[in-house]
Amino acid sequence: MITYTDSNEEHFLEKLASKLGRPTPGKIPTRHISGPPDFWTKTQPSQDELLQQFIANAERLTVKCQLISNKNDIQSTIGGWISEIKAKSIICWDSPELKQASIPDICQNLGLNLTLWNHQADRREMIRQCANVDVGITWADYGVANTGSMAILSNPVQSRAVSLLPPVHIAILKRETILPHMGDIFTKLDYTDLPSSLTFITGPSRTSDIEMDLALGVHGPAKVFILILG
Amino acid sequence: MTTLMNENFKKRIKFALHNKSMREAIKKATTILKNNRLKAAEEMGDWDEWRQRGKDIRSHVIANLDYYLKQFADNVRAKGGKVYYAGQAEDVIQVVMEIVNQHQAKTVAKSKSMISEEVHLNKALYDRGIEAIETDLAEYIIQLAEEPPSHIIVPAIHKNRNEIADLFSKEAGKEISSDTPSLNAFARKTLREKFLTADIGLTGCNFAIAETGSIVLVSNEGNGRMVSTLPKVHIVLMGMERIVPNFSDLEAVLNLLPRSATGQKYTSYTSIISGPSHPGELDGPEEMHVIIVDNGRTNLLGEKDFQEALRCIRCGACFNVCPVYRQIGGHAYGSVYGGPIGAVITPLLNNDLKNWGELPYASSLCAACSEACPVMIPLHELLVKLRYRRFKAGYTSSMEHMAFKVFRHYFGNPRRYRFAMKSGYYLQRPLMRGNHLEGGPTPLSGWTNSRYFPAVAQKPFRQRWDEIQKGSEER
Repeated sequence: MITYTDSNEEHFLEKLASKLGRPTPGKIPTRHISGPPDFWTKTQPSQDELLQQFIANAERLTVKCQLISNKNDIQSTIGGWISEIKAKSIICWDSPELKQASIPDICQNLGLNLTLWNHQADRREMIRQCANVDVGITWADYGVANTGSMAILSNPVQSRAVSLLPPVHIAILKRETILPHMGDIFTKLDYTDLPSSLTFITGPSRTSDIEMDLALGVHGPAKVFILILG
Repeated sequence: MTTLMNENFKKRIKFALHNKSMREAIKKATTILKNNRLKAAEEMGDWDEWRQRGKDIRSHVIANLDYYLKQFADNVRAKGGKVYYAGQAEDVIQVVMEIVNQHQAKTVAKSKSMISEEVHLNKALYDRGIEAIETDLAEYIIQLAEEPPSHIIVPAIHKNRNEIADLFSKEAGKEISSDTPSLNAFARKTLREKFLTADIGLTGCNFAIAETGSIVLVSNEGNGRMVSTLPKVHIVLMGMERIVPNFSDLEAVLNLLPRSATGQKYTSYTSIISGPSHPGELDGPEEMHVIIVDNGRTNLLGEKDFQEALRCIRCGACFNVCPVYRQIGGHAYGSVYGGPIGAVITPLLNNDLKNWGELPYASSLCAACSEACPVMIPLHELLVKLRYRRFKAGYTSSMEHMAFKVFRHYFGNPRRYRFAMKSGYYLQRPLMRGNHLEGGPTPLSGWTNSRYFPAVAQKPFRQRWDEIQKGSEER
C-alpha cells in the first residue's frame, strides 16, 4: 500500500531521471530561449492606440465599452446600462477604488437593491446572495490591449464570485492600466506574493457545444460592460 | 488494406462511416475550427516563429522534467497546496477517494479533464457511491448519453440538437425544446445548483508554472472558474508533462493554445491559480490538492523519437485537419485520445502495440497534422515509426509480409520487373474499367474497391522514354 503524499516524490522523480539517462539537475537548467518571439515586445503603441485596440477587441466579443473623462458621467453611463438590461439588484466589491469612484452610492442613487461583498460574512450565504442578483460590479486591475481582456487579482475584498455568478458583469478600468500584452501584466506581478487567483476575462461566457452554434452566458455572465476611466 | 487492422477497429470505422449525421457534424465543426485557426494565426506576425518558441519551451521542459516537477511541487507546497504523485490510473482513483473520504464528500463537480477520462474516474466514483458531475456543456451532454468524448476540444461534436434535447428532456422529466437558448438555459440552471452545492471541485490543468507553483485553466463557459471558486476543496488532475518554466513561457504557450484550438485570441477565462485561498478570502477553495499523473507518460520519456509527443498542449488542431478523423470521427479510434496525436500516444501510453498498434494506420501520412501542430510535433513521422515498431514486434500479418516479399522480388530486378509489367497488362484485363481497375481478389480489392488504381499501360514509360528522347534529339 502506497501512501500518496509527498513521500513518494523521490521515487517518482528518480524514475524520470533514469528514463532521461542522467541524475536530476541540481540547479535550474540553462537555456538560451524563453517566452514569446523577440518581435512580440518590440512595438510600443501609444496610450491612445492601446485604448483603441482594447475597445475594438472587446467590442468584437460583444463587450460594451465606454470611455469616461468626467467623473460626473459615471452615473448616467451605468444607469443607461442598468435600464438596458432591466436590472433590479446588484452586488459590488467593498473596495477603496470603487468607493473613490462613488460606485456604491451611484448604485443606490439608481434605485438598485445593493449588496456589498462582505468577506467576513458567512461563506455559503454570501455566495448564494451573489448568485441571486442581476449584476456584479468590480474593479479591473489591468486591461490587455491586443485581446480586449481584463485582469483581476483576487484578495479578500476582490472576490472572485462577483465577476462570475451574476448574469451581467460591469467592470471599471483605468485607462492607464491598459497594457499591450498579457506578458506586460505578468511583469507587474510580485512573484513572491501572487494572488490566489489571477483571472483574465475576455468577453462573456460562451459555448459553441451545440452544433457549433454560439451561445453566451452558459455559466458565467452573458453580458459584460467596461467603463474606462481616463 | 484489410489485413492491417483488427476486426474491432474495422467494425468501428464501418459503423462511423454509416453514421451520416455524425459525419456531417464533424465536417462542419472541423472546417470552422480549422479556418478560425488559420485566421487567428495570421495576425500574430511570423506564426512559425511562435511555433518554434512553443517547440523550444516544451522540449526544454520535457528534457528536464524531473527538475521542473520538483520545483513546481516545492512551490505548490510553499503556497499551502498539497502534492501527490500518481504512477497509474488506480493511484489517481485512490488519491481522489482519500480526499473524498476525508471530507465525507458526496458530490464532485468537474470541469474538463482528459486525465479523468484516461483513468475512468467518473465510473470509479460512481461505483463508490460518489456523484461526479461534468459541468462543461459538451461533457455534460455526453455524460448523460454515457458516451466518451469524440473530440478533445468539442467533445460532443457528434451529437445534434435533437439528440441533446432528448437527453435533457429525460433528465428534466419534462420536454426541453431543441433551440440553443432553451438547451443552454436548462444546462445553466441545472449545473448552477451543482456548482453551489458540490463538496469538491475537480479540474484538469492546462499548464503548470514551475517557478511559482501556479496552475493555469482556460475555459470559455466559466465552469472551470466555478469549480475552482465555489467548493471548499479543489482537486487538480495534472498530466506530469503540463509544465512551463515561468510566466514568460506561459505567455508564449497561451498565445498558441486558444488560437490553435478554436481560433480565439484567448478563451473567455484564463485563470492562474496559486495555492488555496488566502486568509480573509471568502470564496475560493480552502484546500488545494494537486495530483501529478504519469499513467504511461514515462514510456515516451527518453525515447529519442517519441519523447517529442510529450510536447503536446492538447489543442486538437491535428484532429481538425486530419482527412481520416474528418471521415470517421473520434469514437472509431476506440481510445481516449483520437485524431493524429491519439494515434501516436495511445499505443505508447498503454505500452501495447498488439491492441493499439493499428491506430497509426488511421492516417494517410499527408502531414497536415504536423503542419498544424503549434509545438511542431512531427506527427506523421511518428506514425510511420510506430508502424515500423509494430512490424518489428511481429504484429503485422503474414499476408502483408508475403505481399512485400513479392513486391521486392519483382521490383528489385529490371528483368523481373519487365516481366511483371507485361503479364500485369494481360492479367488485369477482366478488372479494367476505362483506364483504372475495379474489384478483383483480396487483398487487391481492399484497394480497388475504395481507391483509384490506374491500369498498367500498354506501352510502359520505360519504352516511351527512349522514343521521347529520340524525338527531342531530332528537334
